[in-house]
Amino acid sequence: MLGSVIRQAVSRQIVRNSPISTTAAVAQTNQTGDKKESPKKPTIWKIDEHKRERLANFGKYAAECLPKFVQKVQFAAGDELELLIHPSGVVPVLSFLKGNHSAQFTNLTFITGMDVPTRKNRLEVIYSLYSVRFNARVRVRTYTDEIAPIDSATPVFKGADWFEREVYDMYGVWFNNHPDLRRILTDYGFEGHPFRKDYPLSGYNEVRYDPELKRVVYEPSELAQEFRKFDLNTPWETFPAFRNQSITSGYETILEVAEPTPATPQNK
Amino acid sequence: MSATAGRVVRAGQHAVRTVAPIKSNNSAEARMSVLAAYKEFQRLTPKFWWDFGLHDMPLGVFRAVIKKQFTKNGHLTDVRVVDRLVGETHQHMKSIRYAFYNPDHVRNYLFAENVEAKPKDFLSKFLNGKE
Repeated sequence: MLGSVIRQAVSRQIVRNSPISTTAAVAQTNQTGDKKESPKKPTIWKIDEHKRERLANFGKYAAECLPKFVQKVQFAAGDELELLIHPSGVVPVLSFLKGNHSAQFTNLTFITGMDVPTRKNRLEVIYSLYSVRFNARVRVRTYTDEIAPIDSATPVFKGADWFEREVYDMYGVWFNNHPDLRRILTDYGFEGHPFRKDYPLSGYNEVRYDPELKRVVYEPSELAQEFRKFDLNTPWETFPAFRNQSITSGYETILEVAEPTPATPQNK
Repeated sequence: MSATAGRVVRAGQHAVRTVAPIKSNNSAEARMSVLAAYKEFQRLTPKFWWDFGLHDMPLGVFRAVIKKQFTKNGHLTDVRVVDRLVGETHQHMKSIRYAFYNPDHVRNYLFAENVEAKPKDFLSKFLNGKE
């Protein structure tokens, strides 16, 4: 124990000394060189300020046109517009974004889900739309819990059929008025929803062929003790130069509607 | 979706949460929807029994198996959970009519012969060596 502690201290000192100095020196020289010689480096992503301003104006316009449903307008990763809406407004907001002359987001890129178990409404559904006319993208995000359904986007975008089946399969979000809501990736009779954070990594069932019953049967998963523990923390520090920086780019709020009543799922 | 206002559901001993009903507004409506789903499923049972190769048992015994699938959820009191299960039951019936399932899936779902029942009382858990 004591030897390992000493070894950790020594290795920590070594790690702190050499990479910081070399990385800092190289970074400084690179930065000064880049700023003096060329203002635009082709390998670094540059945010188009003009496009970002137009997207911000469109976000405000959408919030003005849909004051009942839009709760927040924000930018993710610098220039990606996101509309956070109430779950009852999926069909009106998507219809507006598709049919309005100033929007024309006619392409549904994807629908996906997200699970944050610490929230009261833990599941989130994210729609990504693309406008061929304006070469712009927007994301619509809404929330729900495990039971409350969301209106299906199939009446607005017919391509939402399989996307919503995937969200139902992986996250368990129920969609009203869906033409064919059943599992699309997992097996018939599958238990649970694999992309929820509380789903175990090994699953609930394992499959084997039973010669007595002459069919493939499911059995509860049984793992040996040494395979149960999943120690997922890596012992190495991958980015020592960015130790004090956040790994995510964060959100920038453009417009936020203050709601007097707390937002509950399907509160009409 | 119902047009009525939110309804208070007791989530804990003191916590009260306002939720919107999914389909039924009260327990009586949920019970009626469950009974309607059960009747429709029993009307489908002869086709189910014949199409999925379950001839090794009489039709009456198979009807009892279907009834057991409904009664094992009889302890549920949350109306929203009941509504969701009714919706899934309708989806199951559609899958049976369109032959999405195959006989192996049906047998694994209805009868899990190879899976031993979980011990429920303390002595059974103790003897099986599980907590």
